[in-house]
Amino acid sequence: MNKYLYKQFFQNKVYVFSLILLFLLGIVSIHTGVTFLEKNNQLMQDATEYQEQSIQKNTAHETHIGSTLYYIKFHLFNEPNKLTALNIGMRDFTPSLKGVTIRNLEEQKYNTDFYNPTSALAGNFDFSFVLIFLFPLIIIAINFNILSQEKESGTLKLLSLQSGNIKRIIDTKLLIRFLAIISIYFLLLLTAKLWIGIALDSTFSLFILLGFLYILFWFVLCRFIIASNKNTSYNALSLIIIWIGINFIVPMISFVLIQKMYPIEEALQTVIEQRDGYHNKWDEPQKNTIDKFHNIYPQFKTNDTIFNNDFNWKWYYAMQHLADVESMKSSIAYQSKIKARNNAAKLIGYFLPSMHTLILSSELALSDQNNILAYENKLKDFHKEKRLHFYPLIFSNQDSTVENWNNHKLEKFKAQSNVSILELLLPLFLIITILLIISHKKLRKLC
Amino acid sequence: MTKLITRKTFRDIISKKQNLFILLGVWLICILSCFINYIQFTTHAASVESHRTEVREKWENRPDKHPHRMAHYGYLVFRLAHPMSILDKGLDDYLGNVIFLEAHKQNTANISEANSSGVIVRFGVFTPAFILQVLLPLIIFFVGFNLITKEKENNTLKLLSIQGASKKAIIFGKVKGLWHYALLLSLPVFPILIGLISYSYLSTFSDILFRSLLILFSYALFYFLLSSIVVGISTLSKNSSSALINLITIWLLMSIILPKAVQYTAQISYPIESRIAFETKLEKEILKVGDSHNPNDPYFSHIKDSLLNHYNVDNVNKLPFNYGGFIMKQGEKISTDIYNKKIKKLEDTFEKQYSITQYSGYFNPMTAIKSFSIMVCATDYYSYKIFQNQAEEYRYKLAQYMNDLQIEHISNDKSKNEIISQENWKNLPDFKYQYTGLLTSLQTQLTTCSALVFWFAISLLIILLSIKKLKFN
Amino acid sequence: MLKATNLHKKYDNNTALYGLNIELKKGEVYALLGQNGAGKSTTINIFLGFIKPTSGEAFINGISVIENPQLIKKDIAYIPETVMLYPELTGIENLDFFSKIAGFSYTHKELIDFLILTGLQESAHHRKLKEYSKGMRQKVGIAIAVAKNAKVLFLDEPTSGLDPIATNEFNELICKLGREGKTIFMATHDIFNATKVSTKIGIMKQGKLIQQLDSKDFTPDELQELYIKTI
Repeated sequence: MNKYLYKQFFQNKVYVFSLILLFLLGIVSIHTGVTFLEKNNQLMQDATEYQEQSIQKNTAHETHIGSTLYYIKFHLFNEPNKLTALNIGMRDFTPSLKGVTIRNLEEQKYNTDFYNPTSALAGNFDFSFVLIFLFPLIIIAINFNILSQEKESGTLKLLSLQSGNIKRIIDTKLLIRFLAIISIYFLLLLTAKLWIGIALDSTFSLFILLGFLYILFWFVLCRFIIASNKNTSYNALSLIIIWIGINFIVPMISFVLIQKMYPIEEALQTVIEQRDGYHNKWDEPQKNTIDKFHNIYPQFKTNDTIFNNDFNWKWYYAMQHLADVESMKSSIAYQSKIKARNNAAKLIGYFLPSMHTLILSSELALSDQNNILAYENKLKDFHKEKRLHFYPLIFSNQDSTVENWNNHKLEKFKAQSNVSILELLLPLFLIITILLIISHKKLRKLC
Repeated sequence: MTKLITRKTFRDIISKKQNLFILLGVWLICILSCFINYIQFTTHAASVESHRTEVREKWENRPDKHPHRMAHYGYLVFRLAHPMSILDKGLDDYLGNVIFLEAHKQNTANISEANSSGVIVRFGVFTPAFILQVLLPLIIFFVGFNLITKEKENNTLKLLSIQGASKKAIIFGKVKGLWHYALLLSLPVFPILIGLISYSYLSTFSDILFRSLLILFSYALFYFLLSSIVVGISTLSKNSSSALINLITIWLLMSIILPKAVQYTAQISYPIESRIAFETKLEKEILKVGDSHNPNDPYFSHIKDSLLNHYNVDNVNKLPFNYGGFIMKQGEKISTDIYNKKIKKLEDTFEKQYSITQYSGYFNPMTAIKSFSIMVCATDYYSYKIFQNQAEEYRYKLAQYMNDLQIEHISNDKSKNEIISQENWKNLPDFKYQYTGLLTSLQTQLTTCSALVFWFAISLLIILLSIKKLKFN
Repeated sequence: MLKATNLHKKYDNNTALYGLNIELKKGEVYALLGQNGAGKSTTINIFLGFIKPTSGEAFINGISVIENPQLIKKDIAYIPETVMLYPELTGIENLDFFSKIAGFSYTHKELIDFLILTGLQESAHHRKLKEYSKGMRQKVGIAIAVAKNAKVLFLDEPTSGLDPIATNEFNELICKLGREGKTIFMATHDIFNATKVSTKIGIMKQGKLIQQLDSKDFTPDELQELYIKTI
């Protein structure tokens, strides 16, 4: 009997066409990811070259190292992992590369790369997009009339007379469709793995599992709707409305709520504060500034520091650092607001499979907000490391030739994604289980 | 005759309970999103205003100092979108909100809403524009998909013809009936919008009114097109189910698939170079002309020599103006010129990408209405460019003003730590951002405007085609 | 009133009508018998103006159907096998709407009168059409025809699916309309009813009108025998 159900499905031209369409769209999306990784790689190479050139140019003439360091930017590259190709997330409009001088960090860390806001608005056509938005549509298209079509063409009566177990027939049909879609899913992932060279590690496995559960969720949802035994239009309408709700309305409203709950006016405030924090020092006596600096870094206290009105580099860099110190409160407040926003989104995601899948696969792919925050923190450490390395040289008025500049090449940073399996699986698991139980009850009533 | 059918179509739609429910639901979420956006906008506007005053105060009250310090202190300008962004945010969330203007350096606008919002910004923003441009079409499709197919299935189509109704009356009547429902869904939001937007007092009432009316008119055209598409598909489809499926497919193409495909194409066709590649090339080019920091640089040596010659002195310290300031002014001019040239090339790439989007409006009506809407609401790329240009002009003015002050008032003697009075700071006027004028937008973006006209013509074509293809048996 | 001269209808791979000739006067009730696919529907559709004949002419009240399809619509009416109309409107509302389409604006009382004329009881007038039985719907269909002053009524399988009482009501109505001068053209399988109600009978086979006779000359049994022999 199952043989005929398979035949029924695969002989339907519309079904086969949709599956092929889905596969092709998936391939295009993987290509987008490949292009992204290539561009990123190119960026890394360009940055390495730039840093070398810039150092060379600035150290060509003998100058005080303080003056050289005014211009030299040290670059930190936020390395994506291979999965980022499948979920580009925020990386299309946030820079993966930042270069900073050892001047105040707060002024430099918000600089962006060139990107076209129209493209950012349209969003990426990456694999996650295809998974989260397009897979459900095809799933809906092949499932919505499994039962209602039989009913409306009159064959249901015959079926229920021939076999007492309509539920088994419906579930078999669902299973066939599920296998078809999952095959496409795995085929696409296999293609991605081979094309991009993704290692089959725990991160990738979690990513695969997440998508699998998401697809399962949609099938179970369809089963739930079908079990209500309504007509074709009702099924189509409700499933489409749910799709719009889950993928547009609810996330959008959540976004607005989150924005309202955690407004980020601190951001603009930090910009004002750090600028004033630094520039005000020019009008203050040098001693105040340098004393404050010594409080933070007593190791640089020397007895022969001259406090006069002349410009000196120690004073200059002390001013710069204090600007960071003074705007730190707002900066931290801003960061914590961003983190709070992200956590609120994750919380809502526990109830909304689409958000959940997007947020967590972004986290696995190092393209979410957490990754950006981790990169920012690493940048802070990187900046501090450079400063502390150069301070002694500056304060002892060394020349730029004293440093071995070959030690300062492009640095790479690769974050660790700590996504717990429980966090990933549990919400989807629960929703799937609940839907299964309810639809089970409803289908039982059918016979 | 047509009127009869129009009226009946409209009444049929309204009398169905679920359509009334949809009507109330749409009004509710429209009004909700209006208010939410209004509050967001006014809060942001208030904070921008307070920041602006703070920056100005701080500028004017900076103590006496060397003007070059002021040039480095620079100015912070904050971007505020036009109040029409309450209706359509356009690119706003992806645009930076603050630019630091300083001498020698051109900075980007930083800190956009999207940067701080996490990955869920991908799901889109909840504005009235989204409801009107994306949701309402789907609703219209759902409400009207069986306008013709149902008559066929009920055998009433034949009866209508026998009673004397012409094909033209039937098709046109149904299009108009559906169109009236669409207008009923969307119109009530406009008075509220106009009221809210005007209440923000950030633009003149006539400006807002004119823009709103223009948008209203464009939406009316858009919904007319959609109604004709619905009736056309219904006419051509074999039965109600296939009509519905065809329409849903069209909606998906218009709202999701085509826009992404177009962006993908634009990005591949005209790739943008990274900032670092840009800066590498920029530095190389500036160096080719002259390095103002290199005391032995040939270009600047040449200037020095000619100045010395002209003023008949043998040392720059003896020049009647501040030589350092003068050199910096030259340096600033050179680097700004080269930067502008290169930025123009980059902007051309952006423009080319952008133009692909504009042209896609000719085969995707949703893109056409969206482009038109963000243009009229001044939340499009063109308006952003105007802001950037105004900011850059101000930056250049600031830098050169400071350079001029240095040239005039600071002597060449480096031993004196000379400063000038803070009264000078007040002479630089505040940065006043002017919103992009509507007429300017319209004139420079004719493609966007003409796309709408094109689609109106298409809608008439679809109606004619449906009339031809309508079969009674 | 109704005339067909040498009507031919040829499709790409078959001929639906071969030289059909019919002529009906005012008040005649014509029953067209024939198997499925014999050409009955094609004939009706040509008279209704929905199909153009390959050759030949058709006239309604002296006006050529082919040349003036819009004009003849004023004089004709069509009641299909399943009258569906608009299920969400009541009987009266359906009648009102379709009459307005035809250009007639009737008062409430006049509409009720039309429905009563066709035998539809008043209690049903304000119920939604989806609650009507087949017979009741047919009556509304006929009321629409009468309300537009149609001179010729075309009916397709009018008695299929009607119970004996409804059939009887139908027969009485048709005879009444015929007496009032309306020309009735029915395509039907119901031989028994054909003899009862019609004045003339035609038998079609494979696109040809092979027999035409006066119904008063035949009893139902005789007609049935003749029908089977002919087909």
